[in-house]
Amino acid sequence: MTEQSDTAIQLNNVELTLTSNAGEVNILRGIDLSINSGETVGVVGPSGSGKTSMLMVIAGLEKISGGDISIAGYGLNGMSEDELALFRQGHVGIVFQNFHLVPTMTALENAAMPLEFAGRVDAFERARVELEAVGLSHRIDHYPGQLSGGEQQRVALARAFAPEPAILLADEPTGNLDGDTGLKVMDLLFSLKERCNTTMMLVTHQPELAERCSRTIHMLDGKISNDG
Amino acid sequence: MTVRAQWSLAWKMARRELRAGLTGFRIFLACLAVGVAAIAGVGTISASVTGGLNADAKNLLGGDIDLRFHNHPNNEEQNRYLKANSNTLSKVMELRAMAAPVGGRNGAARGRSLVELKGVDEAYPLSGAMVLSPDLPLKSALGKLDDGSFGAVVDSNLLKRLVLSSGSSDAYNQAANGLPL
Repeated sequence: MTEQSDTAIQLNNVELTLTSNAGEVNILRGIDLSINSGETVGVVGPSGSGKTSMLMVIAGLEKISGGDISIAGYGLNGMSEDELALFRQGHVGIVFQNFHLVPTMTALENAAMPLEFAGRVDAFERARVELEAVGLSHRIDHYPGQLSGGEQQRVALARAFAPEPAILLADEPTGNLDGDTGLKVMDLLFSLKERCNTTMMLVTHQPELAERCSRTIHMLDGKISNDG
Repeated sequence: MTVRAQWSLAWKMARRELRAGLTGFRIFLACLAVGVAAIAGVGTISASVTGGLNADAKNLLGGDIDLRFHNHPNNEEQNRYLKANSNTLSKVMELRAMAAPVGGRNGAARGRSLVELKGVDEAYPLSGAMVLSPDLPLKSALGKLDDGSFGAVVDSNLLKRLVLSSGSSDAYNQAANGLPL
């Protein structure tokens, strides 16, 4: 791992090609992107344009086929799966559209899980604070199945912010929520981001959400078509 | 994180996962418990029956050793051997037969039943004692009656099946005459 400057996300000519029975599919075609620490970047574009794939690449969940990638000062190219997992644990929080909470764990246990894996002795205290911050202090012992969609996404936010990551990646965080609930979750997301001074990349189909970001990237056919 | 802390965390996560695992396994565990209980129950009853038979084997058999000749009588040489090697010897004959009350063979109101007919000698039983109801010595119950026929001892359940009342001489005679068909 090579530590670099305070640039939070740096992608140089990044390519992602997947092979299937139908042949090779070029998902990302030479992405160049630089995001500074503390920036809030919205990523918009039609379905299949490569938004989520770019997010997965930045999270280290997908290995690139070409180019260079550096996140939070760490070059991901040569990292093993274990090293990538440790890197994510220390630097990246992810919020998914489908929440991805563990159904057999309570809200508190879900929020505390990344801290437990990090070996933090104050895991449950921190998780409790984060659940209070998202307004779920009265639901900490509830299982995901006992929570509404909005509440589940708030637990996911608490889990993502509990380790205070340098970078937060959110993939359609309001995609499964109704309008009002989605708005509340977004308000929460932005307020947590401000509190932690996190660099945030938000993939969304909703232009009004992208407009709340300091910078909006448009993607089309695996490339950045507009960055402004 | 130390190795011990890693194992502790792994155990914690596995325990949380089991919350759902056990829910799914409820029926399986219930079946397992019922199965084990059934096997244990059968084993216990079997052991109890075997134990009871072993404890009362001598009285149930009516002696120490039971030697059987199937479909032919024992010859003189065998008789001599048995007498020479036994303290006491009792000769019993058994056969399967159909029993029906006299005059009731064709009557729908009277019952009939497959029975095991046993003829015994005066030495029977070699072990224990035959208790009858009404209280009679076995010898007199099986002895010759005034009309020249012989008595018989019948299980009370058979009398019920044959629609005869227990204890009456009439029933006694009927059963005695009705058994060997």
